[in-house]
Amino acid sequence: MELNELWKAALGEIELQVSKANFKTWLRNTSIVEKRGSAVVIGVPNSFTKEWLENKYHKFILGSLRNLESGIKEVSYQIRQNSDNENVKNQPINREEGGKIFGKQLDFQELTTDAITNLNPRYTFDNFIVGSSNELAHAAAMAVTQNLGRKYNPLFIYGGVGLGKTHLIQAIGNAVKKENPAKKIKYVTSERFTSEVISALRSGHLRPNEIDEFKKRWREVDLLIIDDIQFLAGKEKTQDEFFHTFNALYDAGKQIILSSDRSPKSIQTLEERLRSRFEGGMIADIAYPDLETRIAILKSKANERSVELSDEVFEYVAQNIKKNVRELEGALNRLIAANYQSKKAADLNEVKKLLNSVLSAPKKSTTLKGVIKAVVEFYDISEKELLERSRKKEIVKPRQIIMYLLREEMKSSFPFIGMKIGGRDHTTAIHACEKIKKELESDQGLNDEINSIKERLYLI
Amino acid sequence: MNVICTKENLKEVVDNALRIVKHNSSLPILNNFLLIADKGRFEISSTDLEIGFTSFVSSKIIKDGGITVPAQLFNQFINNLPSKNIGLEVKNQKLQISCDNIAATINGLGVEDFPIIPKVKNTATLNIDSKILKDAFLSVVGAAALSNARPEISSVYLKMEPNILKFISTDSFRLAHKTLFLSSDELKEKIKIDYPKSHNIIIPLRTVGEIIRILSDKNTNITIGIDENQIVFNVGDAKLISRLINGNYPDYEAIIPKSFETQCFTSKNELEEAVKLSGCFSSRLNEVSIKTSGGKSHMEVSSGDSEIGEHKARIDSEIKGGDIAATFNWHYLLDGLKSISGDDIIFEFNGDQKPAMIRPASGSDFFYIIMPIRNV
Repeated sequence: MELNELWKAALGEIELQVSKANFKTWLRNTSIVEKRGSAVVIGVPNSFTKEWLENKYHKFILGSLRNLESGIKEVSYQIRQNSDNENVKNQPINREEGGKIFGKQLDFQELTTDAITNLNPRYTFDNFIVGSSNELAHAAAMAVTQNLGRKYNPLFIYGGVGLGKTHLIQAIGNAVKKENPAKKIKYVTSERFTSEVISALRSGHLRPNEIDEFKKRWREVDLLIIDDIQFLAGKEKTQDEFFHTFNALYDAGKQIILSSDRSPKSIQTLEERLRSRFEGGMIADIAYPDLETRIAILKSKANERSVELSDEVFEYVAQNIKKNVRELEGALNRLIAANYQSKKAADLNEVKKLLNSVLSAPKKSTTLKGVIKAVVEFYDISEKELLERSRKKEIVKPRQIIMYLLREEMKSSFPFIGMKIGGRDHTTAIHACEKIKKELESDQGLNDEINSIKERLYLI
Repeated sequence: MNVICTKENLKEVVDNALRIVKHNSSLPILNNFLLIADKGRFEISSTDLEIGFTSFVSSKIIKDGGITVPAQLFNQFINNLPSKNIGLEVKNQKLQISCDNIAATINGLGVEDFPIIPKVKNTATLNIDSKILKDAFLSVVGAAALSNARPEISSVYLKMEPNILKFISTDSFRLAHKTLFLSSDELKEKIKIDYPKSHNIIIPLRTVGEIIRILSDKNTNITIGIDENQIVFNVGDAKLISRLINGNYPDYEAIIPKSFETQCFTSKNELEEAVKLSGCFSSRLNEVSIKTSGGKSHMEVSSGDSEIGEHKARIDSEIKGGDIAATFNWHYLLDGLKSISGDDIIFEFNGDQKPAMIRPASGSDFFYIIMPIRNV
């Protein structure tokens, strides 16, 4: 008989022998936690119940269990480590009460994250908005929660800043935790992982156990989520430790989820063996959200804050902020704040005025010099070499990329490009741009390279 | 059972015992006190199945025995008796009370159905002066979360390390942290500990409140026993047993700022007065603004509501680092200030959106971290 059924049957019998009040008080929330041979362990919610059952009901319990299974000879009681009021905890966290809009009591962010898993309960699939740009990543994430460790392992999610990588991977963790609280889940940023490696190594000289403990700690999880894995680049010892952890988990069929701002191929100084492992599972990217998705995101955020804005306002904001969900949220916050102060719904003209400062934030203008500098630094070659007539492959490609960027980003004319890049013919420039364009269609690696160059160009 | 005791002795125990009783409709006997005379001692107990309280009452025992009686009724009746000797006798499941020329009979229930107050198998023990314990609890208890939404922070977290006891509480908006250095001259004689390595427990807020009340102005040594699930406080003849909260206390150390951009040295009393005044004018968010002026060496405490009026107070302060303007909940600020003894404090900031810290200028036994209110 199943333990559950056995206990249910025993309770049915005990219920007849004790008063209803006593039954409700002492036997609710009890269960059989273990049955080994002739010994049964009953899990009880608190020590009062334990004392009571041991001293007063022991005979009833033993008797009714023996009636059901005569082999049972011993019954003991154990206080079960139930997490207090689990159901209360799962209520949505509503911190916006009181000072909803015009000011807000800030709280310690660190406290909202779960102490063991490190997950922030706010990130769930329910509030993740799916559009064509993140469909694949979302579907893969859902699949992983259903088939932990079996379907896509590792799951590698990459995409630009503020597009929802962290949200998505934490949502996986939260979903798995909800479905199966017994699973050990660990979310960590690669930075934190690195610092743990370092501290384990440092104290390891004094206490050799430390390293073993470290290994054990990381290798006993069922789901390991590492955020911003690109920061492992260049940290050899950490990569080493991570490689072993990765293998141990992978071999044991545990799920691993990684996120990065670029694909494994374009993370420089990542060891080859790690790279090939990252590529071994499922790689999904999150791209910039399209207009419809952006509007949906805005609407859901506005809804969370229970503010109403007109459709044209949503559309205006979404049309003008394209690349970052966080910026979308920031713009919305401004609108809400202004809206509150003037106590009337903002019309489109006002919105335009309000967001003026955000939208026309000094955009770094790209210059010829800037482009050359970014490319030269990225490929680590000298500017002089680049402009010379060298036909070396490692020089030619960057040169072509510069020409491509000048054309695409600055809309320079082909003769101008040719002239500035070492006094070349305009046909050379045309050829270069077309070649890169064509390669971009098929070569994901090149795509990532150019994206990171663009990032340098605009961010730094 | 037949005992005689003074009203004062009985009343003190009954007062404490009554606080533990919570109305319980599923098991009516929990609304009762357990009165037992056994082996020459008379004992009163009460419980709500989370906390158990038992205490001896000095008395003369004539005959052993026991009964349970409705707590409210018993308390009310005893309270109103004259200050004379009280006789308690059980006859036929009824408690007969006699005092001077007053006699009463209360219908009781048998003792068999009263819960057994569990025993604590000490894995850690603490012997501590009651004043020190009470002060430590009082200095942090105000910051604990009141709501039950997150039981692990509706508590006081006690970290026991070799030579150090730390009391911590937080409601996610502020955090209070009290440290007792056991090897200091002052405390060496007053606290004795016995636990293997380090031991951390989460004590429910209600338990802390009750123990603070029971300790009241007592000046005695109390013994605390702790096992995996429970804690027991032995205070003289009384004993309070409570469950501990299973769970993990949040990683509060991550909250503690490592450095600050602005440091203000100022008088606690002046700041406390100013914050109290600001409470008259602050609006629904309870906000009070703090603005520093390094050049003029003062801090400005102000509050205002367009419908009521406004207030402004200037306090002399030595300021290091950049100037700052930040807004706080004045209740929270006051809670922190009140927990500091001595007048010289340091108030430190990291901008208007990051946690600020208040601590005494001398001594590192207490600090209080508070999150600002964000103005949009």
